[in-house]
Amino acid sequence: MAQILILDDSETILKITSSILLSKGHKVTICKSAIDAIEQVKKKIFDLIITDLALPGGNNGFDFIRTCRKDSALQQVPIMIMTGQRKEKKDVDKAISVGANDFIVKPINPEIFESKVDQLLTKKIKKNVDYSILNAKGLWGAEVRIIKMTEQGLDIQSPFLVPVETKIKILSEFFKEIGIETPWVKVVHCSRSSIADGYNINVKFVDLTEKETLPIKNWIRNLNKKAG
Amino acid sequence: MSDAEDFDSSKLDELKEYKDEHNQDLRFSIVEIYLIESKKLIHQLKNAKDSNTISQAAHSLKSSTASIGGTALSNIFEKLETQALADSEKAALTKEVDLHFLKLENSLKHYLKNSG
Repeated sequence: MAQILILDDSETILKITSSILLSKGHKVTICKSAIDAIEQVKKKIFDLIITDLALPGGNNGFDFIRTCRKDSALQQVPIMIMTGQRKEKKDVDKAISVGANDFIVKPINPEIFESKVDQLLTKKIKKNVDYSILNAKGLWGAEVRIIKMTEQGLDIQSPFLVPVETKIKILSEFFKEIGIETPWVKVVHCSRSSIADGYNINVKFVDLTEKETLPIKNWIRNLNKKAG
Repeated sequence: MSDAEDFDSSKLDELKEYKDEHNQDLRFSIVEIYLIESKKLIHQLKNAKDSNTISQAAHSLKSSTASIGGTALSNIFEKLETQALADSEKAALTKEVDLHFLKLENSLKHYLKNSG
C-alpha cells in the first residue's frame, strides 16, 4: 500500500486513475491544480506523484516537477507524467530532464498504468535501503519535522534557520522508539524550503559509537522491510 | 462520419473490472462524471473570449473524451487546443462539437444500457 498523489484538472481522468489505484489498495490524494498539490506535499509524505503536464492557472506540470525536485523532502519521490497521445517527444524529454521518472500516454490503459506504478514504487523501495522516509515530530526551540534518517544523520524541516556547524539536540519520542538516547547532531546544510514555510536542514550525528549506530541501522532496515 | 468512428467502446471495456467507491461498476460513474464535466467545459469553450481559455478547456476535454472512447470528438478538441486556428475555423469546429457530443452521449447511454 502506497500514498499516491494525482494532479490533473480533469475530474474524469482523476476518477479513472484514482479508482485503478484504490483497487490495488493504495491511498490516493487527488488535486486539480498545482497550488493544491503543493499544499498536499507540504502536509503529507507521498510514495509516488502522478501529474498531467498542461494545468490551469499558469503553473504547468514542468513547474510543479521543478518545485518538487528543489525540495530535499521530495527529491527521492518518483514522479510519473501523464501526456496526450500526440504530444511531441520533446515534452516527455523535457519532463524527464526536470526530474520526472516515467510517463504514460492518455487515454490510459489500466494494465500499463498499474505496471508502471508498480515499477516506480519498487524502484523507490530499492533506493530506500540505506535510509527511511519519516514524518516524526521533534522539538528544538520550536516544533521541527524529521523527514528522513540515514545512518549518518537526519533531514529535518524547521520553521527557522539554523547556522551550519551548530551543534543541537532535537527532542523527539522518535529516538526512544529506535532505542537510543537523544543524540547530539551538527548542522551541515540549511536552505530555505521551496515548498514549505521554513528551512530544510541536514544534520549529522555527532560521536555515535558503533553500539549506538546499530539500533539506527536495524530500525532503517526493518522499516524498509515493512514497506516492501 | 459513422457512429463507430465517434465511439470506441474498447476504452470503457478496459475498465469493466473496476468498481467505484460504492462497489458499483466504475464505468457508470465515469460516464456520469464525464457528461457533467464536459457539458460545463463545452459551455466555457463556447463562451470564451480569449484563446488561452479555449485552449485549456479543449485540452481537458480532449483527454477526458479520449478516455471514454470519444475518438472523433477528441480529435476536434485537439484541433481547438491549437491556438493558431483562425476565428472562422474555430467557429466551424465549435459547431461540430455539438453534433458529435450529442452522438457520443447517445452512444454512451446505449453502451451502459447493454452493460448493466
